[in-house]
Amino acid sequence: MLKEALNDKQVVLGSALILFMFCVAILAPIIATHDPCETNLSPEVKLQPPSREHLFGTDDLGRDLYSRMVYGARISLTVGLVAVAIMLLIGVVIGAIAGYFGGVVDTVIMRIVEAILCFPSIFLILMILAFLGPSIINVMVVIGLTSWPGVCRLVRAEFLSLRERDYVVAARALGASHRRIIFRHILPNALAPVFVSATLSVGSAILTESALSFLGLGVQIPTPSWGNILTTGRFYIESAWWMTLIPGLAILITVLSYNLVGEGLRAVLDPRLKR
Amino acid sequence: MSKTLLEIKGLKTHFYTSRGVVKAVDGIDLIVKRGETVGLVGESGCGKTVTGLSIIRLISEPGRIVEGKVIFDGDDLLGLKKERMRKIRGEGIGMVFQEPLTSLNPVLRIGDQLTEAVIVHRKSSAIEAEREALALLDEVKIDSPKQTLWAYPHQLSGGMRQRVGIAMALMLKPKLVLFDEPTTALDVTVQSGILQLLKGLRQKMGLSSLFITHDLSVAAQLADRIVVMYAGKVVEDAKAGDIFKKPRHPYTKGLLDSIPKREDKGRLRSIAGSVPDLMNLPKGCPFHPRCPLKESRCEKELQDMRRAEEDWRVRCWKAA
Repeated sequence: MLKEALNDKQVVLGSALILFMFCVAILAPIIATHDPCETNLSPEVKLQPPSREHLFGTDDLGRDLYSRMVYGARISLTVGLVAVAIMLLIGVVIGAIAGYFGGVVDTVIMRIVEAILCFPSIFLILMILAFLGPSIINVMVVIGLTSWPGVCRLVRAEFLSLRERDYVVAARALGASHRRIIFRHILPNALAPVFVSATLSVGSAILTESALSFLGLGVQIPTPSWGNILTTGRFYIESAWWMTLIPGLAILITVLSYNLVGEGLRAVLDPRLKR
Repeated sequence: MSKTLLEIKGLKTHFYTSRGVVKAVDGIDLIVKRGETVGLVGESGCGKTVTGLSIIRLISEPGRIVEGKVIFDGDDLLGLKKERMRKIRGEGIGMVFQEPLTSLNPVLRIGDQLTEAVIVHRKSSAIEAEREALALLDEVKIDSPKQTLWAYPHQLSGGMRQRVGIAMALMLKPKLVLFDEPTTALDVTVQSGILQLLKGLRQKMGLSSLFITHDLSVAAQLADRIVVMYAGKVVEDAKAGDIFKKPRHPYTKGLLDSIPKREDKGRLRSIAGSVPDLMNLPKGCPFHPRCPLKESRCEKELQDMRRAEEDWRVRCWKAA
């Protein structure tokens, strides 16, 4: 399966880009050319187009955009991973319980899930963040807390079909507990679609974080994030195009690469999509 | 210690479907003595497997055990708390399933699945459990037990998988083993190998078992006693030697005649008609529409199980 995935051009291209982004994020202190928060308001420094000294130019406060982008990568990638981890934890456990036990438990859980799905998630996130106050940790937690219903439904559907398998009956006949059957016997068989959906969700979590930072509810200035670089950039879109174009491209490429990997994996893991 | 290991009394398991109630098991009595192998025989859909699953209480919705007693080693299993019941499964009663490919988990190694029972019930260490698993794989005549422990189910042949299935059920040395058509999914040569193995194990370990099969010729090789089921009820219950010589119930006779014999040329014999719809059983004896001996009484009333001879019970008006 891994071999097949590595033969898929989409997956390879996507993972290479993601790997590159991670290297940038991890090596940020080494590859950044300036302090990302150092300001210089002199007219010769601020709002300068890309040059040899400032690879991506400078922003309205004279900060080096390249260094800010490099540090911003840390935020975007962390948010993507942590939010999706929270989402998976909640979604998988609740979906597994609903699908495995069925009946009343399932009905109650699925009605709650549907109720949550009724709200547009960005609206829900904005509402919760308005109460909790904007911070990077809150952003990750809130994205995780609002995005689990999708995975939950996916896992539930898998469990509904897998719990009828003979090997599950066999495990029960051996006296295995519900917890053991759920996590050891059924879950590993249900992971393929979960994995695909998790990959796709990382992309959307990064996008949500950017949107929130853009709206001022995410990562707070002066800490750089792609979203808040974009939001300051929009005031100067006519004079300093690099301030919007570069963070915009970075978000686009990152989200795109996660989607490439996700879609590619889906094609590999789902026999119905095979050519 | 009483001689009886398992006694089923008046067990009824019904399925409440949207179309109506399916009386899959409708008041059966059955006894397995210690050291004995009882063959539970009947066509598909007559309630054999449901009986097996009812014993260890693994009937799932919409099925329900409506009434009856399953007395195993002195305890009524149907009244036990869930935790006690979980101990009995595996430790007291082991089960071998029909389809060895689907009853093994495709993502776990054979070793993991074999040691599971020991780890769950006895909290043994992994090393100890593995040693026991190796010994048992050897017992069920698997050539290279070490490699097999590391293999995934799809890497084994059908016969090997079923040997693993048997080993899994035997890991905790249960007092009773339920075999649910363990040879049905295998081809004939592999089947005879498995039967050979079961005979050997039975002698060596003194197994008591309930052997569910639709194939009387398989039951003939293993069982001390034969219980014949039809449409959720027991129709004949006798020692294996007796029943094969002189079946009393016309259904048992029909089953025996359906076994292909070497002298037979041409057509295979079968019982005319098919198993009745369990939701809509014919009045009186459920077998009467297919019965060559039926008389008017059979369409009105069902005979109770009655003694035909010492240790021989049958449910038929016409049986002598």
